[in-house]
Amino acid sequence: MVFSSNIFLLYFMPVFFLVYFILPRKVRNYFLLLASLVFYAWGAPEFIIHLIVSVIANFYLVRWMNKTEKPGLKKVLCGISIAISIGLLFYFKYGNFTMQNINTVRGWFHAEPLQWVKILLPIGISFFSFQSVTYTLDTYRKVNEPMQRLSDYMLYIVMFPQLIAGPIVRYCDIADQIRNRESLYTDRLHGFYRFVIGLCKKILIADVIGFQVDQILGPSNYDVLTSAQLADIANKIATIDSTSAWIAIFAFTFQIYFDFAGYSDMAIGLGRMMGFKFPENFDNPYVSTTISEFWRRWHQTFSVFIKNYLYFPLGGSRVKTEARKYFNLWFCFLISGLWHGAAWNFVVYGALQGIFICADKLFLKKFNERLGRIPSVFFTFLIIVLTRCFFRIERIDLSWLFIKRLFAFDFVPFHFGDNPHLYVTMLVAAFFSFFTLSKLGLKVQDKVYFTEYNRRQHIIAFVVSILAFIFCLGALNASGFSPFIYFRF
Amino acid sequence: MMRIVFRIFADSMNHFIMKNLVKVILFTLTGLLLFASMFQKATHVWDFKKLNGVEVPIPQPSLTFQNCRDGSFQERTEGYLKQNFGFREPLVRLYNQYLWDCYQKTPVGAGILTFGKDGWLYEPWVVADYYQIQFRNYAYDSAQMASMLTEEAHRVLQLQQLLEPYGTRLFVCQVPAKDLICPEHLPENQDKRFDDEPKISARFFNEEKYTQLGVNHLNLEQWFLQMKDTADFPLFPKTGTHWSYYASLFAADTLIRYMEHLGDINMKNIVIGPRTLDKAHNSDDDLESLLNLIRPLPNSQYYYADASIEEDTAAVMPKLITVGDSFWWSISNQIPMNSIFSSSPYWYYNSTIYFDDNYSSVNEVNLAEQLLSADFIMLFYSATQQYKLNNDFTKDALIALCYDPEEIASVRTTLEQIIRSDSSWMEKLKDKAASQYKTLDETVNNEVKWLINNNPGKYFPALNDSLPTKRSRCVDAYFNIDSLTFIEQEVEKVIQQIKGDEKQMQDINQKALKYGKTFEQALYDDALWVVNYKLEQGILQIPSRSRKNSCHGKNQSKI
Repeated sequence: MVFSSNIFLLYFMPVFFLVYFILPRKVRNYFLLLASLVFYAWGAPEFIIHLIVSVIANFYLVRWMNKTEKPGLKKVLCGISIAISIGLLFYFKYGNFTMQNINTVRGWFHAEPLQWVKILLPIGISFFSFQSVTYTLDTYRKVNEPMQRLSDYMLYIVMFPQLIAGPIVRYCDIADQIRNRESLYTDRLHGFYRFVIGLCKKILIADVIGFQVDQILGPSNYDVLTSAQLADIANKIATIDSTSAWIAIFAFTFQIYFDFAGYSDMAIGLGRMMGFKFPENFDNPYVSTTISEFWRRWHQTFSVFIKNYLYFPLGGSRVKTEARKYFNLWFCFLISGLWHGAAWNFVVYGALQGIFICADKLFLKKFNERLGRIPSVFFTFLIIVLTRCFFRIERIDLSWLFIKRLFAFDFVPFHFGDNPHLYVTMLVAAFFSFFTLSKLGLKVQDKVYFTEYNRRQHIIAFVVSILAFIFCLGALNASGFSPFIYFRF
Repeated sequence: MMRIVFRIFADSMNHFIMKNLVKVILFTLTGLLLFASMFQKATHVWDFKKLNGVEVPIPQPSLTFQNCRDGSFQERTEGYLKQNFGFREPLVRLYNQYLWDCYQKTPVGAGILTFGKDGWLYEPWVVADYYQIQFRNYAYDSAQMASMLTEEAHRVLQLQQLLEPYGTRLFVCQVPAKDLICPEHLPENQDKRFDDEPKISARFFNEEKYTQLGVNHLNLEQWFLQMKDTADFPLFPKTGTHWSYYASLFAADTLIRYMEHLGDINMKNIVIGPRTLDKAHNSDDDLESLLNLIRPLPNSQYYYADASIEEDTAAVMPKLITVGDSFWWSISNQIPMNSIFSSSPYWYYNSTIYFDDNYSSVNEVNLAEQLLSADFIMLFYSATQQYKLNNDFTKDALIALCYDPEEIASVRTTLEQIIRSDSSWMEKLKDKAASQYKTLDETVNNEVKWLINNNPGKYFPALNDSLPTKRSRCVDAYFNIDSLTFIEQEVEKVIQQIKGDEKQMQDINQKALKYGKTFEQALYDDALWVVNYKLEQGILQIPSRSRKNSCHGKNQSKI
């Protein structure tokens, strides 16, 4: 189930909150757990058993790990627990990719390809696997005591607001809230406002832009396409003019931000309605002056995870040689690229980000400082836009071809009237992406997101949220309504 | 003590209410609003204007372990809710109105409307057809499309020739489409993908083929083009896709005259009453209605008139079967058909049957019987629909006329067995059934039908003959005579006559060379033409044309 669907907005959410707030506090967690399992099972019924079994196994392994006094056994149990989480992630997410590559290599030696049944990717696995790892490692490092109840641990892993797309909540950040939290009316209302902001970002900006990007570049998931459709996409990319190419990639850059940030807003909002304080996931990433800053602002919970659970264990910056330090940095980004998807284009994307991070440390940051704030923001944004080519186009050869088309300089005249809906939406997206460059923008953001409202502000926010919610419902349903004049056969 | 406790409680409540009252009210209102849609769906308290247009209805699924496990229950439920949630109509109209007011566009992803110049609306496939790229939706390239259209034109001719001896006239009516009649308002071609490829247009290709082969046809599109500059009324409306309601009356009148000429009969005439100007309605704003806006567009006015039928006791009332697209609605909704025709069933896209008391789907009818009972069969398609090759009507008809029902059933059963024994095929069909909200049996049946229609000559070899001689027993049963034998005997007589005439033999030889036929085939075709001509002229008559007994023993009325 996704948040931006009728079933969630019109059925699941109202019923869930009605029952949740009617129930006594002590049983609310059980109900939240049950609802989360239904939420997950709705979208991935085949995988619910995998999820439950892996969660139960991890819970008892970590408990055992915590109890044992033997350091060796502790390590082994910690390893097994992590292996279960990462193993499942690897199997489901990278199984197909690995087999494809093995068969490609076998093909070089004229060996018969290995047969395997294509594995379907369970939704949210990238997120709940990481949460599971944070639980194991935080307990291992004695940051927190393990949960006493299986239901609490299960709730931490499968809680529906952050189950599908994060934020990746570290165990140490939420452990106390699971048992002790209060949902004030202020929180409930602010949560709802935040949810609606996210819904608007997703439906009114990301989906509108995304539809147009798909029109220009074809669908983003190449796995489901036939070879003829792929050939069509290749042809499209090969013949695209530079104007359309730049519009497409700028549009995609905004689409991915508003899609992901919108989803995070919805998750944070839903959590707040229940009294949870989930960590923020985005902090105006496109106003970054360097790539390093961008990664501190973009998908923050993921960056924190990589830093704490990969970069530091690798030695971080406290290593013997500079080369090792840069390798660690680059490797972390390579892995984060691969985390985004099981394809070589994501590997290239991650590797490029790693290279730019290293370049930042070496010279780019100083160069940007000399440029001044506004030029460096746009220079950094341009780098982000260009690297997005490898994110959006799932084949490296086509990504490269697309970049060539960007710089082919065969521009055609731009007509605003050709697609005003797209261009207006892109302008709105650009405005909200960059408006915190000004002090006023920061002030407004702080006021809207992080300040308690007085009564008047609540009334205004409520009216605006309800109208926006209604409008989003209209957009969600009108976009898929394509009736014919008469029934056709 | 109690008083103190009560006082403290009252104070704290007062404090809580003063501090939270607004928030409690707002939160309660939020909850109520979230439940409003469910409430509306359950009670339909508010009655909203229905959304215009038709969409494939998604039935409410019933929950089973299997469909829940494979996710199809969830998918269908979401589809069902999308079509049936409370407040759907005003919400969709609200967003559409926003898009229209701000961007002059249709809902994202609709793909059912294209905006022309000066506020003219077109269907996208109509625009594509004008730029001759519509065929790419039906064929890989223009050569393949040409071959498909040629085969279909030959089938139309076969059917025409096959039915002619039995007194059933088949003809094609080429219906005008908006793109050719009003190209000045069309948008520029945005789809440049096929710019370098050869193109083909079914309307022009068919016109040429029909003329060349001698298929009975009436090209109303050409007629509309001719009168475009002289007509004092719009032939096509600005915000509709079909011919204007008023213009379709004249098209109907022309059609009647054509049938009179084709059948050499006298039919009742249409009398078009005085016209009045009125705001666009019926099909004159059918594209606008799809916009589903809150406020209607400021529209032009159009002419409307009442049509009546002239009394003429000497006129005959033939039976007409119309196989065609939605353009027929404008005519059938305006003209009192039952005053002109004894019966005029409308086989909409060769699928659903309208204006027939006995049948609602072509799957229900005894096809041979129905075809033979008609005096006229009209293939009535506009340009963009001509790529659909009459929706397989000609193939179905030829098979039904040439093969016994048992033979047809046997082929179908064999194919069905082949499909059902192939597990990977069945898996694909299961997916297809789920995605199209159909049962598996229905999908298998459609697959069988597709296989047959994709290559009818493979499964029914008689169709490969230029004029099939094989006949279904339904045909003879229908006429209660061995009519085929009669025709065959007559053809044989003519062949013998030709063989006795050296000059005629030389002519046949030349024809065979010219049309790339064998001598025997050319001889047979010529002899058949002569027999048909004699039958048409009444020189020859099939004995006992009683048309009373069907192969199922059903009685059929006939004028």
